[in-house]
Amino acid sequence: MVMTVLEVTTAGLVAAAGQGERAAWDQLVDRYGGLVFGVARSFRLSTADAADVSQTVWLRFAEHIDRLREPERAGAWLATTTRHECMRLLRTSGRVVISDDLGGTRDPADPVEADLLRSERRAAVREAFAHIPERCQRLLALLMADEVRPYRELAVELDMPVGGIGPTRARCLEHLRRALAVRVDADDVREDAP
Amino acid sequence: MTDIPDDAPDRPAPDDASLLDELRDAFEVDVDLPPGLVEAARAAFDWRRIDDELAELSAGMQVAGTRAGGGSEAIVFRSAGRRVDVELHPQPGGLVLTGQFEPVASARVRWESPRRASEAAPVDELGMFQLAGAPPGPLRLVFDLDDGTRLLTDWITG
Repeated sequence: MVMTVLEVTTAGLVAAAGQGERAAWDQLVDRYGGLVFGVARSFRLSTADAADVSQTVWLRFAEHIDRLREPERAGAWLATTTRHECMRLLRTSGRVVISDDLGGTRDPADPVEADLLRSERRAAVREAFAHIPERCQRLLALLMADEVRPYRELAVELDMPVGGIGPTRARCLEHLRRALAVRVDADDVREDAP
Repeated sequence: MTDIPDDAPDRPAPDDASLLDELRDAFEVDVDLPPGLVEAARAAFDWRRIDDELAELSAGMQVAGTRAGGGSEAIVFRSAGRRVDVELHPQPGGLVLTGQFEPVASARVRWESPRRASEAAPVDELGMFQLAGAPPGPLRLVFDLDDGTRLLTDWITG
């Protein structure tokens, strides 16, 4: 799934959508719809509020699509904008989060809680993935495909030397690990946000 | 984004494989998207207004805002030459929006949601305005200036 959606670069889709191409826009929605909603849900908003935030972010993205400073990082822009909109909403509107255990003890042995923790972790991984460089996204997408392919094929596809795949794989996973560790901090406000 | 360091190890660290597994898992399990969400996101494209001036949500709003009593909030939007301050007040009939438009200009303003829009109201001689009946969910303000300029604010969640 990730492999197919990354066949066209994000920057290419952003440029095409900025020119008014609806099909490119739809592909961006397919690529990042789960990311945006997942980030909103990770703030434990109600489903209705998370859906509202999601729609707000997509509406805002439509107006900003031809003025992004780093079109290849549109996924990061979407994740950061979603995060900020959730924070703004929670801080200023007095919205109620659906769970009251924030800051309390969370028991991973409780099956419901375990499901929740797993789905939050998946959302965090997807969000971290959106923040790493696109060439890393492309390589990791190829590596996570079910079919194991020889490095020389990947090298052709990614236009890099065969000997570079292994080290780049390690570096890209390190990018991911760091992105996962820091999530989005205040520096990203200036870097990614509109 | 900093570049990839040159001194990264040539061999994958022991937990690289598990990280890759976790990545695979994160993308294989479909996010349970509520019905209508994808359609709404796709339809957002129809709301693009590329010829109009855009007042963007002020960066400061993202991390620090003021909070008045009764759940109202002050939100600041800026374009190159203008500033819009808005407060949202929840009322039984929907959100009431009060705000100020600077610099003062003769204009009419309305709110717009993906479902409907309000009647336009005048911006007064001090730049103040008030609108009512806004639904929860995505909202933006649309200003029509007497000189023909149209100014939109960024969308926010009301």
